[in-house]
Formats: sequence, structure tokens, C-alpha cells
Amino acid sequence: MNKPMKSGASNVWVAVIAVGILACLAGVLYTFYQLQAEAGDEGTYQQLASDLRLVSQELVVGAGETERGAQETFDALQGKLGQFDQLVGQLQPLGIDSELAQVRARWQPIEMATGTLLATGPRIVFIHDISKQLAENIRPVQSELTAVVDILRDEQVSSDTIAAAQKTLWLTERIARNIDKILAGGADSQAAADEFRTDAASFSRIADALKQGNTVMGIQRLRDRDAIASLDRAEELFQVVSTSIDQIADASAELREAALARQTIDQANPALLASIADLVPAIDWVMNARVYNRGTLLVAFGAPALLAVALLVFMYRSQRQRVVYTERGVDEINSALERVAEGDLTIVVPEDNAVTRDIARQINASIGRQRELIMNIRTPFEVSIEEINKIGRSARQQVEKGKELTQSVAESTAAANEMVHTSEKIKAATAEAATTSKRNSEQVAVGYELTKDMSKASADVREAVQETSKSAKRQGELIQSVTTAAEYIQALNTKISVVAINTRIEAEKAGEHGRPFLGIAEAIGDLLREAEEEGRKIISEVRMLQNMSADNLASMENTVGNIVTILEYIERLDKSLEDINAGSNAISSIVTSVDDGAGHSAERAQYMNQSMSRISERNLDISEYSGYTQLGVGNLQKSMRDVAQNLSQFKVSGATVSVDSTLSGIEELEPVQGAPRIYREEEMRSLENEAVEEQASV
Amino acid sequence: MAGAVMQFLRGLEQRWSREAMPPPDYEDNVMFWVGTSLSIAGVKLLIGEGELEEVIETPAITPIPGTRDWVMGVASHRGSLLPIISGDVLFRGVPYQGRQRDHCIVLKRPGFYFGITLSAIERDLKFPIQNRVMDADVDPDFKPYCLGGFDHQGDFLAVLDIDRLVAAEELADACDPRLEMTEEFNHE
Repeated sequence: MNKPMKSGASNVWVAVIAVGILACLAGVLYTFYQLQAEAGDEGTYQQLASDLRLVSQELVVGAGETERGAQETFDALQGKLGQFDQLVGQLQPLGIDSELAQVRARWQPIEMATGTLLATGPRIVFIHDISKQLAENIRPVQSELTAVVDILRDEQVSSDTIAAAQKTLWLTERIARNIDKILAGGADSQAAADEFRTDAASFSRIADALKQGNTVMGIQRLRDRDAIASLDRAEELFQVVSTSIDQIADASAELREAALARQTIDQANPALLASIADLVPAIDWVMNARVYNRGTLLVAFGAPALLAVALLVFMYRSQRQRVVYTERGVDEINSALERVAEGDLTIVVPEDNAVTRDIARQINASIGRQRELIMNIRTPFEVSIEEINKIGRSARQQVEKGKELTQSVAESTAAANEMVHTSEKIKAATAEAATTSKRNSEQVAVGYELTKDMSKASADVREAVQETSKSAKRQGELIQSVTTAAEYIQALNTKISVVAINTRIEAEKAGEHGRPFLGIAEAIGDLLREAEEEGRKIISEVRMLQNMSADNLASMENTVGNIVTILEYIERLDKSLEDINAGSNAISSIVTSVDDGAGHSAERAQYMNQSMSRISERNLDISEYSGYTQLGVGNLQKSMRDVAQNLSQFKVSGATVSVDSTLSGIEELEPVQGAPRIYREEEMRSLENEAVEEQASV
Repeated sequence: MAGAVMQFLRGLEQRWSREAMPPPDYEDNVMFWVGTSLSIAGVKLLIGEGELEEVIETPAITPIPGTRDWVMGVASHRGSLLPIISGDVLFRGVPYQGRQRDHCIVLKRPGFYFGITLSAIERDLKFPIQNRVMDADVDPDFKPYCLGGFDHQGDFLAVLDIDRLVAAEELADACDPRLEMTEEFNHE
């Protein structure tokens, strides 16, 4: 079992040593690679120092060329400024901080002066363009102004006018000269700017005076067209200056600063070049120091040695830990085997030790198998105990049931005797019920005849009332006819009243001749009053009669309805009598059936007493069998007790307690008691005697 | 039945021939108010003698558009046109939905000739003039056109003054005011 473990450990150590050798070779190769890389970097840094020197020289040259006012010069200067800063940044990782600080300190005034130059660049370019245009235009301007002077001389104008025209000639000359001074940015540039501003204003004022005339200056207005045209052309050519007077004059301060910046760059450039030249030896020294210093040597050769020593120490410590680990696993296995020998099957050998893990696993499997076998023996044993207990309980319940059965037999015998007495009473009662039912049938037959007579009388009454109702209806129709006639008479009275009124009216219209008709009208009115009163009385009485007739008719209809209801009641009574008759017949049939049932019941009671006797005999047999069952259960209990004591010697997880409880369960079984045989026989004999007496009575 | 009526009238004529020959003597100086008892819109009224032109049965009426609600229409009467006015609508302001008004009184005044429907016609009545009651309660719809009245058999019969009725502004203009407003609006 230990052989594979040793082989595995050897392989691990071979792998560890191989890894150590590879690590040493990798360190040596890395050292050579670093040396080669350092040699390449040295050439790169020296080229950067050379570029830095070249850029500084080009920047000085570009600063001098800015005096010419070309925009390209300023753009190139801006590029050189950025390039210098970039080159210094690339040298920064080399570690020559003191030399680079020296370069930056000497580069700072040049950088500031260059910034000043770049800031004044647009103004320099602008004034330089104006100077260039003025240089091109000054000859034509002076030619035009000369033509004006010549024309004025030919004309009869004042001397001040001619002098003013001549003044413009030398004003243009001096303006051009002052612009050049301003561009140079010398010490007299400010004086030149002031003089330029004055001359430009004078030129414009004289030109206006020549065109418009000015009595204060004593200048007369030009009359000649050619002179005016020449003056216009001169003004147009001079417009380059006249529109930019303030810008040119105000630029003198900036141009002086630009000249000063150029001077600063020229002065600071030699010191900068010297500091840049110091960078080359510094770069060489740094590269040589990197290659040949102690740290490099230690990395190249000392590191593999240190690695080898570390590997040896690690090997010794690993081997020692492995031996201790194996000894601990063996001790655990031995302890577990001793516990098993003592019969303790609950022990579990730890499987966390890699060396003894397989042994521990096999031992644990063996103990588990033994535990399973004991558990397999215990399970049917527990089932057997349970079944024996059930048998014991069943035997006890059997005896109890036997007692209850005997008691029930006694009660059943008493009930059978009572049933016989009850059957005799039922027979007597059924005879009386039959007599009563027959009498009821006779009474129902009498009532049935009475209802037939009543129904016939009601039908006669209904026919009579219906005839009366027809007469009442006819009477109502006659009353209605009389009412209509009375109403017609009433309407006729109204018409007669109208005739009487109109008669009176016409009589009044006729005056004295109509007086007889007034009497007629009054007589008609009197008769009408009486007729109306009688007519109203007739109508009132007829309507009263009509109402009474209607009431009578309604009353008769109500009577007919009541008679119909009585007839319905008679029919219901007839049906009820029929139902009573049918019920009486059914009761008679039931009474007969009950009489027969009572006879059968008495016979069944006798048969039941005989069955009770047989049940008593079977109960005695059951008591005997219970004794046999008690004996068998006792033997089984003894056997189970022996088996439980044997199994209790094994200590299985949870099994010890179960066996103990099983033993206690067996001990609790009480012996099954036999049935009280003598008492049962006496009791059954007395019951049988009582049953015989009761049968005789039935 | 008509024969019986004629026989009754002949009896009346014979009675009149017997009793009318001697002119009646004035027993005392009591003056009587004579009038016709009738009902308009269910109100019992009296109309003095000489006020009525005649009492007729309500003739067939032809409606007249553009007139007030109380103008039922015109009817042909004795060869001329007779405007018929609803007594119910004229006095009550609402039409009557019950039995048809069978009779009309015909009134004639200067510039007025029309008939008014009646709800009932009674007869001529005669009252001592001193029994006339002037301050009794009369139906509010008829009060502006009544002038006193008489108690008769437990009822108070107001006397309808035809002159007041004819002089009322309501009766003077029979044209529908809604139609007038519409015409004025269209004209504008």
C-alpha cells in the first residue's frame, strides 16, 4: 500500500527540481536580454540629445527670421517649441534628472522670449504687409502729387496752396521711413510712431483742404480737373496707410518687445547648447552603470543559487511533514480496530488522511456491513415481538368478547321472551282495530250518501239563482231604456226652455204687440220648471233603481259563486270520504299483516332460543382454545427473551436501546386468563330453562 | 213623443187663451228684475231682458286663423256670418274638454255681433229689484263683467253686464298678438 505513495512523491520531487532548473535558465536568458536591450537604448538616447541640440539651433535661426514678417516663420517657430518639449520628455525616463533640470533652466528664458515673439506675430505680419504695399505705392503717390504741384504752379493760386501741395511729397517720404523704424523696434521706434501719426494726419488734412479749400490754412480749392484726379489717385494709393494709422502707431511697443525677445534668444542660446552638450556624457555614464553595477550581477548569477538553496530547504520540510502525517493516520486506524474488537460497531475511522484513506475506507465499509447484518437480524426479531404482543392482546380481547357474548346471549333470550309477550298483545290489539275499521267504513258510506244529496241540492240552488240573475239583467236593460227616455225628455225640456226664452225675447222686441207672447213664455217657463223638477226626480229614481238592480245582480252572481264554492267543497268532502274509506281498508290490511307478523315473530323467538344454546357451547370451545394460545405465547416469550439477551452484546448505533425496549415489552405481557367455565355452564343452563318456560307461554 | 209635446203646447195655447184675455192688474208697485238664467263656463249667471238677441243651438263653426284662442270661428246664421266665442276660453283662459257646448247666446251691440257658448241654459227668472245684492262674492274671472246679482234657491246668480263685457279691451281685439309680433318682425 505504501509503494504507490513513494512513487508519487518521487515524481513530485523530479518535477519540482526540473522547475527550479528551468527557472535558473530563464533568469540567465532574461539577464542577457536586458543587456542587449540596454545597448540599443543607449543609441536612441544619444540621437535624442543630438535632435535636441539641432532643434535649439533652428529655433534661434527662426527667431531671427521673424523680423522679416513672414507667417510661415512663426508657424515653424511654434512647431520647434513643441518639438523641444517633446524631446526633453522622451529623455526623462533615463534618470538624468540633474542634467535635464539644467537644460530646462536654460531653456526657460528662450521659451518665454519665443512665446513673446509668437504673441506679437500677427501684428508684425500686418505692419510688414502695410510697409511692403507702401513701398510699392510711394512712387506713384509722389508722381501724382508732383503733377498736382505742377498744375498749381501753372495756375494763379496762393503760395500757401503750392507749399501745402509740396509738403505732401516729403510727408509721404517721412511716413515710409517711420514705418520702417517702427518695424525695426529700436529705441527710437516710439518717436517714429508719434511722428508717423502726426504726418498721416497732416497728409489727410492737406488733401482735404486742397479739395475743399481752407481759408484758415490759406489753401485754395483745386479747380483743375486733372489736379483733382491726380490728388484722388494719390489719396487712393495712400489709403493703405490712412486706414491703419492707429494700428501702426500702437504696434510700436509690441514690436519693441519682439526685438528684445530676439535679442534674449540670441544671448541665451549658447548656454542652452552647452547644457545640451552635457547630456551626451551623462547618457553614456547611465547606460554603463546599469550594465556593470552589483545589482545586475546579483540578478544574473546569485538568483539561481538562491533558488537552488530554497528548493533544498523546501524538499526537507515536505518530507518531514509527510512522515508525521502518515504516522497519525496509522494511529487512528489501530485505535478503531481495538474498539471493533471490543464489539463497538459504532466507531468510524477518519478518512481525511490521504495516506491511510483507502485503509480507513475499507475498515469503515466492513464495520458498516457488520452493522447492517445485525440490523437485519434485529428487524424480523422486532416484528416477531410485535406479532406475539398482538397475539397476546388478541387472546385477551377474545376472552373479553366471550364474556360480552355470554351477556348478550342472556339479554337476547330475555328480549325474545319479551317479544313473545308483545306479539300476543299485538294480536289482541289488531282484533280491536279490525272491528273499529269496519265501523268507520260504515260511517263513511253514510257520509258519502249525505254528500251526494247536498251536491244535488246545491246544483238546484245554482240553477235557480242563475235564472233570477237573467231576470235581473233584463230588468237592468229596461231601466237603462227608461233612463235614456228620461234624459231625452230632459234635453227636450232644455230645447223648450230655449224656445221660451227666445219667445220672450221676440215678444220684447215686438213691444206692446208682443206682450201676449210674454205671458206664453212665462207660462212655458213655469211648466218647464215643474217638468224639469219631475224629470230630475224621475232620472234620480231611475238611476237609484239602476244601482239597486246592479247591486242585486252582483249579489246573485256572488251567490252563484258561493254555491259553486260549496259544490267544490262537497266534491272535496266526497273525495276525502273516499280517501278515508281507502285508508280504513288499508288499515284493515295492515292489521291483518301485523297479526300474521306477530305469529311469525313468536316462531322466530323460539328459533332464537335454540341458537343461543348453540352459541353457549361454542363459547366453551373458544375458552379451551384460549388456554392453548396462552401456552404457545409463553414459550415464544421465553425464546424471544433469550435472543434479545444475545443481541444486546453487540453495540450498534441506536440498536442497544431498541433491544432493551423489546425485552421490557416481552416482560410486560401478562398471562392469558382462561374463561370462567363453571359459571358459564350454570348461567347458560338457567337461561335455557327460562327459554323453555317462555316458549311454553308462547 | 213629438205628438205629446204638440198636444202639450196646444193645451198651453188654450190656457193662454183663457187667462190672457183680461190684462193683468198691478197689484202693487213692486218692480221686478227680469232676466234669463244660464251658465257660462260652469258659472250660473243672469242676463237682463233686452240684453240677449236670442239663444240658439251651437251651429257648425268654421275656424278663423290668426285670431285669439277664444275665437272659435264664424258660423252661418240667418243669412249672415256670426262669430262664435268660447265662453270657457274667454273667461277662464283655458278650453273646456267636457261635453260639447250645445247652446249659444247671441249678443248684438253697435259694432258687435257675436255668440258666446253656454255650459247650461235654465230659463227666465224674475226677482224683486230690491233683492239685488251688489257686494256678494262673484267668481274672480267674471267679477270685472258682473254687476251684483240675486240669491236663488241657495245659489247666488251674478248679473252679467253685457255693456261691460263689450267695453272690455280683451274683446275689442280678436287678432292673435303672436301673429302681430311676427308680422311686425317680418316688416322690420
